[in-house]
Amino acid sequence: MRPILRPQYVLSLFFMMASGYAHQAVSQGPSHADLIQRGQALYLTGRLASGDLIKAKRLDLGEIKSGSDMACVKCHRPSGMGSLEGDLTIPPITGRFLFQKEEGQPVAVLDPRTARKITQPHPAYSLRSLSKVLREGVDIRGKKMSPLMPHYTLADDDVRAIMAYLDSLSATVSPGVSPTQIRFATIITPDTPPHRKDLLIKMLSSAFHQRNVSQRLHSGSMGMPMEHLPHVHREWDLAVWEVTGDPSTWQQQLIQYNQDHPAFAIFSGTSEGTWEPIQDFCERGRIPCLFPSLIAPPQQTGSHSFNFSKGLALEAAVLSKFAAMRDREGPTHWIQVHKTDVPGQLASKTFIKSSEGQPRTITDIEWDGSLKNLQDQLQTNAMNMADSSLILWLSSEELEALHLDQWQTLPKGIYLSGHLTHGHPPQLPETMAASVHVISPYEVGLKRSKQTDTLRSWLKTWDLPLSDEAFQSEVFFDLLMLTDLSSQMLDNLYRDYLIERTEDMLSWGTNVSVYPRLSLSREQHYASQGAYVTKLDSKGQLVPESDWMVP
Amino acid sequence: MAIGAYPLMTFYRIFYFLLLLTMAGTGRVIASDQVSKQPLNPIGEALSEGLAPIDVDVPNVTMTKQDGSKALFKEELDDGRPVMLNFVYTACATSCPVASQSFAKAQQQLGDKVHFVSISIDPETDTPDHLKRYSEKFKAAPGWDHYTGNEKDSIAIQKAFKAFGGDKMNHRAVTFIRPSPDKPWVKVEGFTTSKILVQTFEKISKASL
Repeated sequence: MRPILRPQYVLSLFFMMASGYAHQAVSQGPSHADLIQRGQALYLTGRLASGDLIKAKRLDLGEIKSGSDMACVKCHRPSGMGSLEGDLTIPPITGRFLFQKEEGQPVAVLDPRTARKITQPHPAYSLRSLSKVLREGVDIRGKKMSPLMPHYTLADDDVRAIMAYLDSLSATVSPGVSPTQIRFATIITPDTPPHRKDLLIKMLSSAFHQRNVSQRLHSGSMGMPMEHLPHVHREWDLAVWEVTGDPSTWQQQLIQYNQDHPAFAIFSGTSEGTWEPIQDFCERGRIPCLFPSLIAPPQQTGSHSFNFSKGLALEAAVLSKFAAMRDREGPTHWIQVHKTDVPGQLASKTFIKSSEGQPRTITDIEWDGSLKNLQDQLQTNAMNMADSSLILWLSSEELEALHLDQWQTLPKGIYLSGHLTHGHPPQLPETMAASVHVISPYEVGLKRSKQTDTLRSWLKTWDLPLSDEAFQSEVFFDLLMLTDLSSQMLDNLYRDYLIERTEDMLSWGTNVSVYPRLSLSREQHYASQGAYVTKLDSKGQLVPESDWMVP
Repeated sequence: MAIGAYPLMTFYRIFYFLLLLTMAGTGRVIASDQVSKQPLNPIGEALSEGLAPIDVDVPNVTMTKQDGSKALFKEELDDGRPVMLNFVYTACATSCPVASQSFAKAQQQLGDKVHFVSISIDPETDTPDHLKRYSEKFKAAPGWDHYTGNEKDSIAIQKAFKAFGGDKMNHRAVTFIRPSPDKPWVKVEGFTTSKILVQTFEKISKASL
């Protein structure tokens, strides 16, 4: 390896030459660790060693003391790899980009939408040139920087601290990355039905195989534009982390998996129950967890977790809003049937909570799985049935077992869950179809089949079945996103950077999922935020009877 | 080998087809500058460049304000006051805060004679509560309203102002000013200081007397 002149040595050297009592100054000044810590405070919170907030000026907005708004992290992000917003590209500023000699500087993609915008080599920054950037907004070549770059009031020691921190930031690739390989893990919980697990593993391994084979065979000759940029070719390695037993033990199992063979990121995966312990694992370990297929996702995401939507809670909230808009003429009665499991609880509780303040009474029936018990309970409510709306938070198979067609009294309307019926219209006797509504978090009709065209042709190529389109489209979306992100990141394989790219990127590119629109931001880690209320048309297809509703 | 190649194309094609097209003409990766070339309007430049009036056909949509009240957007703009309008979203971390600070400072100078209008381009996230917090952060005084609505309506407004980038990540810094309902809108591009906003406003107000 080529030795690199670390800036802290340059700094001390500079110090010694510049000052007559160099020795004293070096030994009495803050230690390197202290400097890094001070730099970190400045970078993340805009706080100076004195405890005061950093002062900075931007445009003509005067002296602003709002430290955290002016902190470097706002634009350059926790990884230091910069960001992208509109046509504004903010470059990486870690030590590897700033302080190394030109030939040693890595390359980063500034704007993946054009692939031409990449970082350019420049002379290594020194204390002096970095001060000029921070104080005057002039770069090392004497060029004026974007007006968005604040002009800070900083002492030399502050600049030194920032230098030390930048040099420590994203200095080595994250765990799970080796010179030849990058490992991704997917997580499957024990409640996952075997066919779903099978489908997931088949899709993931086919895609990983495809990716590795094509990279080996075609790298440099027929890759895509970003593949032309210099980077190390790493094989993708898929780890399937199956957790077993009680959810309270999952976190420990995952820690063990990750200790034995660390993964760079967790992606996709599936659960029909709780995901909380897995999210906890991701947040505590600061490992990115990207878009698992869930029906009852945690209702708050941390900084490292991303979800497609809020699952059944979203459906319940949308239904409540829909009902409030429709039932303006007075009080209504609702009966909701749900199981005692995590998804059942989430759906029913959310519906009750979002009904607060509505002229609405709710009879809540917890179904223990026994058909007899449920029939008895419904019997008790039979008198009301004709005047009630009925929500069945149940899967297609469970609905079938209920034999709705044999019921003597039918409710005013029957509402079913899109998640639990997997986005397929339920098979119902014609007489009932008119009163059935499905809350669909997915796109419907022609639009949906257009969006999933790519998935279908990919499955065909790989001879894989299409048996659960909504779920499979989520997995497919995850795969494309991962391919996309990893080619954007080149060799800058830092977990935080992956998260930042995810937050920025989802808003562009073709939508191959069943969702109408997926969009994220730094504060928005649920990509889809609404649902339709749909009904069945004469052909048994779902058609929206509401706008796309966001609760 | 061929088996590997074809699916690779399918797999990647989705995101990179357009990129390929872009690349085809250039033959190699063309370098750009490290720092974005976001246009800045140095004071005076925007004024001398000539401010072309633009046609805006404001759509007939209902929007919701930061206090939760609903209003016909057209009527909001046509209440007789001069209007200064921009597009923001509350999760925007780099450019919107600067645009909003410029609005805040311009409002301090122009007072309540001007209606300041900020429209969310991320309406699904930006509930009235989000907007309220955002406007409080920038100390918006009465006379500066933030609007949200449904996705469709927000897009309709962006399109009417030819400021629709397809997505919030594609938005550009731009401000629209109209001295009175019977006058055309004027577009100010790039990051603008409050000084430019006020000067532009005064210039076009005078011109339209």
